Amino acid sequence: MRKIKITLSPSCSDELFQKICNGFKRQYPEELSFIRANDTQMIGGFIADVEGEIIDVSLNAQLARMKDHLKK
Amino acid sequence: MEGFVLSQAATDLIINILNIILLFLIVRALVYKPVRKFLDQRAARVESIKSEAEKALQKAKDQEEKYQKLSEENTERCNQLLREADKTASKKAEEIIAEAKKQGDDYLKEQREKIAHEHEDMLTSMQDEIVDMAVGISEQILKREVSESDNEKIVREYFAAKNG
Repeated sequence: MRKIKITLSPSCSDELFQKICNGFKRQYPEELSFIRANDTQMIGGFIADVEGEIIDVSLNAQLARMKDHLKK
Repeated sequence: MEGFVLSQAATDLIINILNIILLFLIVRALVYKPVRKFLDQRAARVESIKSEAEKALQKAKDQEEKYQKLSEENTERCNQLLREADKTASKKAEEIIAEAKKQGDDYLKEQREKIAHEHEDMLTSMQDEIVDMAVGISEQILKREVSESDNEKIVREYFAAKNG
């Protein structure tokens, strides 16, 4: 069973968490187990830790990329 | 009697004449010749001294001319050395001035480059600060404004891209 840890803002609803889990279930054929983690610094989006593989779809990462791009 | 007196006078005359002649001869022998010799010797000494004096004078004149010539040559040599020294000093001064100017120009150029780099660094630093501030403000705004529907949109777009 593949374990996936989803980090979200505490303000995100359980429905949104479920939609994320459904999205990963469509992606991975094997059985999955999900863990939710809350991060108060998270602005929006989510970060998924798929057994070491980090998928960062957070607004924090987008802002960081934008900052790096502007500083170049 | 008259013959006797006349003969006496004649005799006296003759004797006087003989005395004079004898005196003359004696004086000539004893006085004139030595005195003459003395005078000749003195004249010769005087002549010799005069000759030596003239030689000495000529020698002195020759020496004077020689020293005068040497003095003129030395004066000319001194003037030449002074001119060469002046020329060398002028050249050295010009070299020093040129070197100082070059060092000054190099220093100015270095300082200008340094100022330009510092200005560029300062602008970059300010730019970075502005970016940090802008991103910070954006974070604050997004924290306040991002809604559930925005998060749903992010999730939807991610999985739509993943699934092709």
